[in-house]
Amino acid sequence: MSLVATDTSLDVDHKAIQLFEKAIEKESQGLMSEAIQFYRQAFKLNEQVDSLYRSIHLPKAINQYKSERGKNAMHNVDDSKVAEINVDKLIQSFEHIDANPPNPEDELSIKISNLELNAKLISPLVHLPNDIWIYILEILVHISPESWFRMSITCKKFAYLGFNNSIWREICNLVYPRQIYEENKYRKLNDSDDDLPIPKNQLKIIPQYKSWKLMLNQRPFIKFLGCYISVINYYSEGGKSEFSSSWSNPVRTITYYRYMRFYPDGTVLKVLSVLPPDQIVPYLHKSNKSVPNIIEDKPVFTHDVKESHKIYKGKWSVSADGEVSIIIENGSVPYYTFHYNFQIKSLGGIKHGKLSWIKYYAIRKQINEQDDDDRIGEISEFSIRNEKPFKFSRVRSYILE
Amino acid sequence: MSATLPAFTDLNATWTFIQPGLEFILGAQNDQGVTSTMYMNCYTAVYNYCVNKSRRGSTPQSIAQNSDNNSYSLAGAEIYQKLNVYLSQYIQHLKKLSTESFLEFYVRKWTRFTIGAVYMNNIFDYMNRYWVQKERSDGRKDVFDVNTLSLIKWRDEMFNPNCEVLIEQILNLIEKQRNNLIVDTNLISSSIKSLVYLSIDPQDLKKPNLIIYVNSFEKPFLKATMDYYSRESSEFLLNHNVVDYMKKCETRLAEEISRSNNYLEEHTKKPLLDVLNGALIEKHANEMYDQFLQLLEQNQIGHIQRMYKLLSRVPKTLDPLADTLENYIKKEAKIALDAIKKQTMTNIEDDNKKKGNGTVEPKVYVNTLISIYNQFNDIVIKAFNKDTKFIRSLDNACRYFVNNNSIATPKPRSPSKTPELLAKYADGFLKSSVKETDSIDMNADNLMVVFKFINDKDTFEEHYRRSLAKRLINGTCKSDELEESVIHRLQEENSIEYTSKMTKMFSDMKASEDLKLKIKQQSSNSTIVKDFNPLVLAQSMWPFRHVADYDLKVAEELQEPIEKLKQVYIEQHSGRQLQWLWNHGRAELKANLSRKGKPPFSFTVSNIQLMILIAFNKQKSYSSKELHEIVGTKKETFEAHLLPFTKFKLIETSTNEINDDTIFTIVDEYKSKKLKVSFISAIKSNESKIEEDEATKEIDEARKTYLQACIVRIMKSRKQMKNSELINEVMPLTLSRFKAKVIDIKRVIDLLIEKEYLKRLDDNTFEYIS
Amino acid sequence: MMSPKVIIVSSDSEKFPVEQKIAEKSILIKNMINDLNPDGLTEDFEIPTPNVRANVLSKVLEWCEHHKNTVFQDDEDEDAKKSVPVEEWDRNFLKVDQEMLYEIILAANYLNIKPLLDSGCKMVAEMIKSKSPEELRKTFNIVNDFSPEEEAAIRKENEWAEDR
Repeated sequence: MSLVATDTSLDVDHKAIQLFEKAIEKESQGLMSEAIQFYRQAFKLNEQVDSLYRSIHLPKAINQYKSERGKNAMHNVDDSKVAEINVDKLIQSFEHIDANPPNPEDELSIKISNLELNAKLISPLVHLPNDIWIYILEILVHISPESWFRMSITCKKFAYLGFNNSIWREICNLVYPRQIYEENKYRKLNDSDDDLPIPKNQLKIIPQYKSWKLMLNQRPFIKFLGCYISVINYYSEGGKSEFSSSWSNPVRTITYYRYMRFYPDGTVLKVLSVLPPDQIVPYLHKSNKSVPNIIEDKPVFTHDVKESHKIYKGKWSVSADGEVSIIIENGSVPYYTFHYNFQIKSLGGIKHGKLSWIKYYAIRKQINEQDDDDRIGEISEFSIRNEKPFKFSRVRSYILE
Repeated sequence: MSATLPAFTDLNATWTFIQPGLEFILGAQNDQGVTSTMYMNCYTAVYNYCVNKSRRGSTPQSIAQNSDNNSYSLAGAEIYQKLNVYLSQYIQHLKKLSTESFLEFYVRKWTRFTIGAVYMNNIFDYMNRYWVQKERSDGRKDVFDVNTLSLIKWRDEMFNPNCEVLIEQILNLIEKQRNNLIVDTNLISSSIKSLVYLSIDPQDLKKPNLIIYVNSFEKPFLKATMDYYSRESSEFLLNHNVVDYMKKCETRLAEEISRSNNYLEEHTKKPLLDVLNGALIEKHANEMYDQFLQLLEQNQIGHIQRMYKLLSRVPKTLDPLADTLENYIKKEAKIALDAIKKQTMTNIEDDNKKKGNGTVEPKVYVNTLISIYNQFNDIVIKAFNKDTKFIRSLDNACRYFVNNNSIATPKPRSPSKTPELLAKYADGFLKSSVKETDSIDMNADNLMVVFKFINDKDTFEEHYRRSLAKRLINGTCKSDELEESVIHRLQEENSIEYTSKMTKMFSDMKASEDLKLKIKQQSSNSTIVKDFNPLVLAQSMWPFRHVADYDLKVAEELQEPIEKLKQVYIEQHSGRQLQWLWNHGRAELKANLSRKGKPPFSFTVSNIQLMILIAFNKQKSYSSKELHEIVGTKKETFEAHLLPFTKFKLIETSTNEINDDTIFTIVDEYKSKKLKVSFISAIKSNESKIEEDEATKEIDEARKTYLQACIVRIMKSRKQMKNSELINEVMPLTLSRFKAKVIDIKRVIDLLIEKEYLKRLDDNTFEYIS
Repeated sequence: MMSPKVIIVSSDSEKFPVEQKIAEKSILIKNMINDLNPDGLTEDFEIPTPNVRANVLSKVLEWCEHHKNTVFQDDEDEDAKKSVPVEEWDRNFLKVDQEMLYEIILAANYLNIKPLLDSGCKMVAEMIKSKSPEELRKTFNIVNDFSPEEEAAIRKENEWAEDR
C-alpha cells in the first residue's frame, strides 16, 4: 500500500462517514427517502461504514459531549431511580450547600487548571450574595434562556438558586403577559387590566396555583423564540412505466412540512412547503412575504413566488385551557378564510411543546362588494387524518422585538 | 452603642446591636441627634445579616418552614419579624403626659414617629430592596416596606384603640374654632393628615386610598357640621333680618372654604359644600324669597346680587326667584303703561283741539317699553350676573307686556297694536319731515329691542313697508344709509325673506332713476315737461294698488314723455305690463298768473289737478261737465281734487252749489302771498282708512299663504299625520313671523282639503295627496 | 465659599472627600444626608462605610465621578432594563479580575448604586453566556457535585423551560 493509497482510503472513509452522518441527520428530520439515498451512497463507499462510524466517530462525539456536560454525561442512569426523585425536595435540600472547588486528586482537568491558578480557590464571584446571584440568573433568563439553565445545572448551589421561586416567577412574567387570550378579545379598549378575564398582572393569577413553577408547568402557552414544525411523510405508488417488466410498482416517499411562527402581537406566520427547515426557518419573519430561492448557497428573493415559498400571515389567540385558534384571511385560496384549531400539549418532558390538530376548515367569504355568491358563509371542513402534530424547535436567531 | 459590628450570622446579636440606634431614631431618647456612624452601623448590621447569612449558608437551624415556597433567603424574614414585634412594643409603651390632652399627645408622638419611620425605612433599605420586594412580587399582601409597616403598626397599636377619643377631640377643636376661639390649628391639621397616611390599601400600596380618613373622620365631621349650622342659622334668623343673615352666610362659607383648604382632603370639599349649602341656604331659601320683592321695590341691587350668589350655590333654589322676577316685571310694566294711557286720555280732555285721535303717541309708547326693559336688563346684568335663567325671565316678561297691555290690546283677544305702533315709531325717526328735536331720543337700537319681543312680526313688516313705500315715492327719507341699516338689522334679527320685499323696493327706486336718465336722453326739447320722474314699482312688492277711480285722460301736451317711457321700458322688459297709479305721484308746475313783473307761481298739485290746470291753458272757462270729461276719473274723485282750487280761489265758480252746469273760470291774476302753493293737502280723502283695511287684509292673506306652504311641506315629507301632531309641528315654524292661532291653522287645513292637497282619513288624521 | 464636601471613610480609615453630587450616586448616602441634614449640608459631612475597603471605594468613586452628570432612568420597567446591554464605558471600567469585579458588585450593592450594580451583574451574565456547563465549572472553578441520577432528574424536569 502506498502512502498515497492510504491517504486515498482515509479520504474515502472520511467521505463515507460524512455521508453516513448526513443520512442520520436527514433521518432525524424525517426525510426518509433522502436519508436512504445518503445511506446507500455511504455504504457504496465503504461497506462497513456503520462500524467505522461507531468506532471512530462516536468516541469523538462522546468526548465532545462530555466536555460540554461534565462527569455525568455518559453515565448510565437507572430511569426508575431517576423517576423516584422529587426534584423540588431535592433542590430545596441544596439550600445550605456551598459550591466547592474540584478535588485535587480528582481527574485530569485539575492539572490543567493548576497551571493557571490555585486550584483550591473557587472564583470569588461564586460568593456573591444569593440576592445578587438570583438577579444575575434573572438577567440570563431574559438575554439567554439556555445559559440560565446551563449555569443552574453546574452544581447544587446554583441549582438551588437557578430553580428558585423568583426565577420561575420571572419566567411566568415573561411568558403569560405576552399571550393573546381568546377570553380577552371582546373587552373594551379602556378596560383596565383588572377588568380583563385574564389579567396581565400575574399576581392576580398566582393564587390559583401552588407556585410559580406549577403555573409554568400546568398553564399552557405559546412559545415565541422558535418555530413550530409538522413533518408529513406519505407514500405514493407511482404507476409502472409503460414497458416496464417490473413486478412491483415503485413507491415514492413524499415529505412536506408545515411551519408556524407566533408573535406576541397576535400575528402568526404559516408556510406549507416541501422545503426542509434549513431553507425556511431562517427566513420566517414578519417582514418577509416569502422565503428565498437558494441559488449557489445564497438566498435570492424573486418576484414570482412559488406556492411552497409563500409566507401567509394570520392572527392567533389561545384560550385559558390551551386551545389555539388561527385565522388566515388571505390564504392560498382567495375566497376562503382558513381556520385552524390546535390543542397545546406536552411532548414527553417538554411541556407545551406540541400542537395537536383539532379542526381545520375554511369559510367562504365575500371577495368584494359585488360578490353575491350563494356559497358565501359556507363552511368546508378539511380532513386532518393525514396531518401530524407540530413540534416546537428553539431558534437562536429569533428574538422578541 | 458598640462600634464593633456583630457577628454576621447571629440574629440576636445583630438585633441587640441595632436596637439602641432605633431608640434614637424613633426619638425615645428625647431628641438627641442621630450620628452618621450610628446610622451607618445600623444599616451595615442589617445588611451584613441579610447578605452573609444566606451566603455562608452553613447554619442548619433554620430548615425551611415553607419548603413549598423554595425561598432562598430567610434572613430578611427574621429581621422583619423582629422589627414587627419591636414596633408594636415601642408604640404600646408611648406615654401621655398628665398635662396634655390625648390629641396633643397623639400629634406630638405622631410627628416624631413619622420622621423616624422614614429613617428606619432607609436603615432597613437592604431588606426592603430584596426580601420585601420579593415577597410582594410573589403576591404576599402582609409584608410591607418598613415605612408602611411603621404606619400600619401605628394604626393598629395607636389609632384603632383610641379612635373615638381622638376624633371627638378633633371635632371639639374644630367647633371651638367655629366659635371664634383661638386654637392650635397644627393639632387639627396634623391629626387629620395622619388619618390620610394611615389609610393604606394592602393590595396596592401606591393606590390612593382614604378609607380611614373617610370612615373615621369625614362622616362624623360632616354630621357635626350639619348640626352646627342648622342650629346656628335658625337661631340667627330669630334675631336678625334676612340681609344680615345673608352676610353671615357669606362669612361662614368663606371660613369653611378656607378651613377645608387648610386641613381637609379634596375628597371632603364637595360633600362639605353640600352640607353647608343645605343647612345655610336651601333650608332658608323661603326666608330669602320673602325678602326678594322688598329688595326689588327698594332697588337694592347689592343685596339682590348677594341673594343671587348665595342661592346660585343650590341652582334649583333660583327657579322661584326667577319666577318672582318675571311676575314683578310684568306688574311694573302694567303700571307704567296704564299710567301713560291715562296721561294721554287726560291730555285729550285738557286740550281736545290740539292733536288727539285718542291714541298714545308711538314715541311715548315705545320709549316706555324701552325704559322698562332697560331698568330690568340692568338688574339682570348687575345683580344676576347675566344668568340665563334670569335673562329668560326678563325675555318672557317683555314678550308678554310688549304684546299685551292696555294700549296694545284695549280689548282682550284683539290683535296687538304694538307692531303698528312700532312701525309708526320707526317712521317717526326715518322721515325727513319730522323735526330733529322730536326724534332726538328715537333710534334703531330701541326699535330692535322692541322688535325682538313682538309676536306678530309680519304685521310689523306690513306697516313698516307701507310707511317705507311712502317715504320712498315721496322722497321723504331722512337718509338712505339709515334706511338700509335698519333693514339690515331686521334681516339679521329675523331672516332674508323677512326683508326681501323692502330690499326689492330699494332696487326698484334705483332702476327707476336709470330709466329716468334714459328717457331724458331720448326726449326732444319741445316738450313742456321739464322734469319727468317716473317710478316703476313691482306690483307684488309695493303696497299700492291700481284704483280705477283715478283713471284719467292724459293731456296731449304730456303724451310725449309717457310714450317714451312705455317704449324704453318695454324695450328693456318685454312682456311686462305697466299700470298707472295716478293717485300717487305729484306734479310741480309754473303758473304765469302773477302780477306783471313778478315771478311766476310754483304750484304743487296731484295728477288729476294737473290735468285740470292744463285744460285752462286752452280756454279760461269750462262747465263742470266739460271739465270732468276732459280729465276723466270718477266724478267724486274729480270733485275732491277740484275743490282745493276753488277753496284757495285759483278757480272761480258760477254757482255756490256745484252741479254739472257750474262754470269754472281761472283767475287772471292769482293773489297769494306765497310763491309756492301746494293744493294737495287740501284734497279730502278717506285713503288712510282704506289703507288700514288693506293692510289688515294683506296680513291675513300672507298668513294664510304661509300656513299653507308650511302644512304642505310637512305633509309632503310625513305623508300621514294626526291633527294634533300637525298643529304642533306648524306652530313653532310660524314664530319668527307671528303667533298662529289653532283656529287659523284648522281653517287653512280645510282650505287645503278643498284644494285637494290633503285628504281627511278620519276625524283626526290627514293624508297628503301627491 | 466652597460648597461642603462629603467625606467618605473606608473601612481601613482612608478618607475620600467628594462633591455631594458624586457621593449621592449612592442612594444609601443620599438618603442618609437627607435624613440627618433635613435643611441641607452646611459643613463637611463624614460618613463611614464599614464594609468597603479603600482600594474598592476609590474604584467605585471613579465610576461615580464619571457618571456625575448621567441621568439614570428610574423607571418601573425592570424587565426592559434587564435586557439592555452594558454601555461601553462601564464595560471597559469593569474589565478587571474576578476578585475586583466581585468587590465592586458587593460595594455597589451595599452602597445602593443601582446602575453600577446592574452593569456588574450583566458583566457576570456575559461571562456565563454561550458557555457549556462544564466550561462554566471551569470558569468559576467549581465541581459538579450532582450524582448522575440527580442531574438526570433535574434536567428532565427543568430543561424544557428554556424554551419559551
